[in-house]
Amino acid sequence: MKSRVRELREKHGWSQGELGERLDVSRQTINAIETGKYDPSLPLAFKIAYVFGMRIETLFDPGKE
Amino acid sequence: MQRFTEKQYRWQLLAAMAIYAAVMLVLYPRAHAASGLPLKVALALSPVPAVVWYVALMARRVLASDELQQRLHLIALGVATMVVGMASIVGGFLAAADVWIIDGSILVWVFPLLCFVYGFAHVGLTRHYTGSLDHCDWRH
Repeated sequence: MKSRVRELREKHGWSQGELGERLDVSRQTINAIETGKYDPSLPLAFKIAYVFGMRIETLFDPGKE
Repeated sequence: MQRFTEKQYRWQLLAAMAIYAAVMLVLYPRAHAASGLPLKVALALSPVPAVVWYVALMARRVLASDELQQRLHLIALGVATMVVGMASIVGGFLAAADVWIIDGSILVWVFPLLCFVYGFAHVGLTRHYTGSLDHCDWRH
């Protein structure tokens, strides 16, 4: 799944660790989400959307599945 | 509630392993020569509390992890269970058919083997998901 997490994180000037602290997850988890190797759970996806003040569907693109 | 940090885990693991090693060197060898069944049983099982402590530490570590970490821990545990289970059943069949003559003391290797395969699988999975080996730097 494609996401805009890296783009938005960099726009806010946060490191992966800082975003991880805001979301209460590890830096590695942020890295895995950004690289598309891990799709977050629905609660975490909502949390990410909340942190960036966006709607969940504007953050994640499931692509053609 | 305070998080169970990786640092706490490592220190407590070190303590558990140090106690385990000390018990194995000092108490456990006396089990053979001990007189009386209760004392023999107590000495034979003396390493168990340290192992139980280790299992409890692992459980705390997994519970304190985030969702991806939990996933990696549980997949690694599944892989380890499968590998050790398969090895046990193969060894069991060979022993039952008298192809491989072994005694029950080989069972002490089941748990260490489980831990080894678990660790190996966890490193591989972490590398796959995060692209690096700094899995030991889990924040929580």
